Amino acid sequence: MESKTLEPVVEMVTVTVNGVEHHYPKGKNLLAALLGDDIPVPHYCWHPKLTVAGNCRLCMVEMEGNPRPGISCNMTCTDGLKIKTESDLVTSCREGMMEFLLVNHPLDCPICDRGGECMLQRYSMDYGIGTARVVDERRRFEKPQFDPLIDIERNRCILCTRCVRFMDEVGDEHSLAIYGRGNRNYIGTFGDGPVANIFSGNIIDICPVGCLTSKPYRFKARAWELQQVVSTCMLCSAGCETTTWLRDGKIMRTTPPGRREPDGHFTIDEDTEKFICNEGRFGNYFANHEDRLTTALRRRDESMVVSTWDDALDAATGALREAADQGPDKVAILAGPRATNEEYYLLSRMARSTLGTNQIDWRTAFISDAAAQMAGAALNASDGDLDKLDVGEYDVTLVVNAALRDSTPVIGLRVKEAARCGKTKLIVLDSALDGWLSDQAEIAAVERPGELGAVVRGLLDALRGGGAAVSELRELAQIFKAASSGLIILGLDTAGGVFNAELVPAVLDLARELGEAWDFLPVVQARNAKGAMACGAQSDRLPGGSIRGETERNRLAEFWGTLDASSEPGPTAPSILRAAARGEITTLLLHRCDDLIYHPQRELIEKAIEATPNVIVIDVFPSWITQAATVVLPGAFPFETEGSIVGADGEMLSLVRGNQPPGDAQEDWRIIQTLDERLGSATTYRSVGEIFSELLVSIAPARPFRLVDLRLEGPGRESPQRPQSVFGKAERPTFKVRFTDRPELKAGTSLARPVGEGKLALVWFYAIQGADHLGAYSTEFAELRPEASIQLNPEDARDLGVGKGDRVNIQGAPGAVGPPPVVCLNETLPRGIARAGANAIRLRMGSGDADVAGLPQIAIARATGGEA
Amino acid sequence: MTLQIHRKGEAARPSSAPLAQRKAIEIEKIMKKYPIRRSAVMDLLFLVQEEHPEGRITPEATEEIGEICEMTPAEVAQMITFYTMYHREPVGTHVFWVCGTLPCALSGADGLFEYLKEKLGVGLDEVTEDGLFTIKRMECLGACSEAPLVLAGKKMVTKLTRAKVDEMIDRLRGKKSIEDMT
Repeated sequence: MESKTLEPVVEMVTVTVNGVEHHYPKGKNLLAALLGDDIPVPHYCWHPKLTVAGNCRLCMVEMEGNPRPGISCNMTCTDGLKIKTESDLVTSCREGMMEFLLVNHPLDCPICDRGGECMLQRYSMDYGIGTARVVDERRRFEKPQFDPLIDIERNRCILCTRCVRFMDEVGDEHSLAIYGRGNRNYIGTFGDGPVANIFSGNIIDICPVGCLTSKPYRFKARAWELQQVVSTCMLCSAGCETTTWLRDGKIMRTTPPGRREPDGHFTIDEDTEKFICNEGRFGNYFANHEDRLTTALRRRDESMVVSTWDDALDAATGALREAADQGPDKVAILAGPRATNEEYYLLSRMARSTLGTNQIDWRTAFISDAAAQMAGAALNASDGDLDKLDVGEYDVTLVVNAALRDSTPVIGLRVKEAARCGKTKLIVLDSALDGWLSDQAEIAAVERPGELGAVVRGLLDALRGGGAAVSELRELAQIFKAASSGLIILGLDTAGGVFNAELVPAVLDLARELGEAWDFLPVVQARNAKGAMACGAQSDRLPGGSIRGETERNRLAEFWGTLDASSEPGPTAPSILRAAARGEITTLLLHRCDDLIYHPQRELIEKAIEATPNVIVIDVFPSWITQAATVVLPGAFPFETEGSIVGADGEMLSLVRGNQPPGDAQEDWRIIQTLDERLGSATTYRSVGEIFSELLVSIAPARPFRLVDLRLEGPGRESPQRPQSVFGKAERPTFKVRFTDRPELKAGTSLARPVGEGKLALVWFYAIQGADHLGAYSTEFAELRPEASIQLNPEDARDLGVGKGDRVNIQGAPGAVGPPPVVCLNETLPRGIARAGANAIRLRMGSGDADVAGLPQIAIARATGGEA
Repeated sequence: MTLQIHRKGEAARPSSAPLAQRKAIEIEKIMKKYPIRRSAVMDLLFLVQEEHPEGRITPEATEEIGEICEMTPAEVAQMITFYTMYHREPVGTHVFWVCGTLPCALSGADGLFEYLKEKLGVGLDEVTEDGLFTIKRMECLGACSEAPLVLAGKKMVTKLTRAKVDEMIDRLRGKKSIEDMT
């Protein structure tokens, strides 16, 4: 361990550039070193995150002692190297290359979407000769259909192969290739089909010219007329930094962080680790949807009618007050997955201080009390750090029961990249392999769902020297023992968390057995789960710690004036919903509860809303829940509100406000604050920064950074110029919220319900692709998404008479809605089990606890007339 | 516990592609020549092309070969489009490759090319109605001292004249060998 914390000694060498001596690490890529020192060297094919191709020939520099110029992207820094980046020879090389690359270029800049941020335009201005000598007809390619999201214009391509290398190296798909030969070379997919990869959108950014452009953004806007908002993506819990590009308050596109060059050009940061997934890139268009809630609504008899804010707030306050007066178990607050820390903090304050109840919880996605409890316990032990994974500080990474590619693609990519680059040894344990992450696994073990806990226990036995364990488990135990550090990633959402009761205690035991050097990182789809925990939006936690903690209680009592809630933990969200369904709750406040809209226990939630006299909803889109509510208060989206969130590995991230909420909609924190004020709370906050300062004292008394670093203060509209470190990561102060409690938990029972004849037990996982209602409102994107699929074992599929690519209807007890999913065959899937993303199947399970003891059983039949 | 274990780099399961079943023996023989499976892709492409009645490689075959060689169809298609002697469009039983470089042109290759087209009644890359012949252009055939020349299937016919063209076509129409032609 000790040696790992020391920086490796890097030998520095002297490179003379244009007569000036520079010191670079020996062996560093010369072009990267030059660009790092702001020495301009034009380049197309070289990309900091991809291998060297050396085919654009534009980065040529003159080398002393060598009659021919060399390409700097394929040179390394060696001692005594003397180069010139500006000389007559270099200038003439660049002119010649630019003329060559433009020989067949259509010069259609006025209609090209890349205009204004095109490297071809830019270098033509900087290094081109300004005229064309070509008199012959230019080569033309037909325009194919290609990808639903990516437009291809081959005439503009300069064959730099960045996109091909991206798909090979990062996408790991080999779906793009160069076809033909010589002058007729072109980029394409097999049969001009879709690129079909969850990261494919990144080839739009890395294309230096106008060949690959975004279809949803096509002909929409020009880069220079857009306002950039650098913020954090709230579509999954990975917490990627993204830039949202707005014009007149409408979202035009989303990219990884971009910046404005000194000469006014917009460039998307090349030197970022952060490739974003297609959902993050294209899935934000819902904010433009015209169905947004823009006015407060109140129930009048059978329908919802427009109301003034004043009336709506009065009604909501009255309902909350009435319930609180009846007793602390008569009022409950459910907080959704997309709220900011500040919103959670205010909700917690409202519940604990003003209403005097502990019935506040964020764990709405889980289907049972045990699943939610265990998820909370797992997150409370979460000290894993993805940055340490990136730089290779974990010898071994164990991924258990986590559909990372579909639930949190970028976390999946980071794990996969670390394994691919040999920075960690990846072990996967799951009920089926996805053929993506598992491809990079040293060992991937598959066990029937419901028995994964037993495998972890077997591993624990083997680690303790037990002889009874299976030989493969002994081998895994050897790998774990040999590692000096490691990371355990556990998925908590699979099948609504039904496996948590057996898996979480087992995995925590394993983590304890492996010792301090092993970190633990549970992954949930709730975007700000750790923020909700840290800020007390969990029934058994106050902002900053346990509900029983004296220090926390005293501190908060001081901040809030009073702290009336008892020190006994309240019920979890699934229990609150069950109590509501029994008619035991008078007033329910639902804050942005996206998970409830397509929740598998639809009947339970319908009953809960029906049986509760007052249901107050703060949301952004109408849904069946807003239809059934008593008061609806229109809220705001992340880029319409400021705040902070806590990323999956605990990093404090900021949300930057770039837009006004439409109509009468308000920022959520203001709504909660106003409600609280009307209920008679003692303190008021004037800004998000004020709330943040207070919650920061609660969760991090040491405060290692300034608010301005989080961009919570100031307008934050322009992307700041950030210095780059050798890892190519933005150097900005980071602060991590860590939970390090690893208690011994009592394991629940595993599920082993027999599966009926012709039926399959369904394991569903959260899939970011359109899993909730925001996906459906992202209309530009909704129809372009890849089709939802269901995985079957090939033998099961044969028995059922369906094959790969067939559309199937799902029938059976749970029921399902939505278009029939497409069959995918997965040989690693145990027989009798089907696996699907929650986007493929809108489950409708029963509401009783008995229904969640086992996996739902489904029958599958080929959909009529729907053969793919 | 029925733990299934998969290891990195372990041998893939045998391919279930129909081609792998139908040509199991030939594929086995080809695979023996190479240390890694993807090296066999060019041999397999020829195998498929020769077997096909139209002498071409179909998209389905491309996918099957990809599966056998553990490559994506895009990578296989990249090979097919790079090399001129793989066909994605139908060709006749006999393909005449006419040399298109300078020494042959100086020796009258263009005139012979026109004569060949006229005699067969087809243009470049087209198939004659009887399905027997296709004319294709090739860059240098590597026998400039014997110019002008044509490659008929696998047989090189050198110092080409109109008479030789006539004879060649007559023989092939009559299902006779041209192996003894020079």
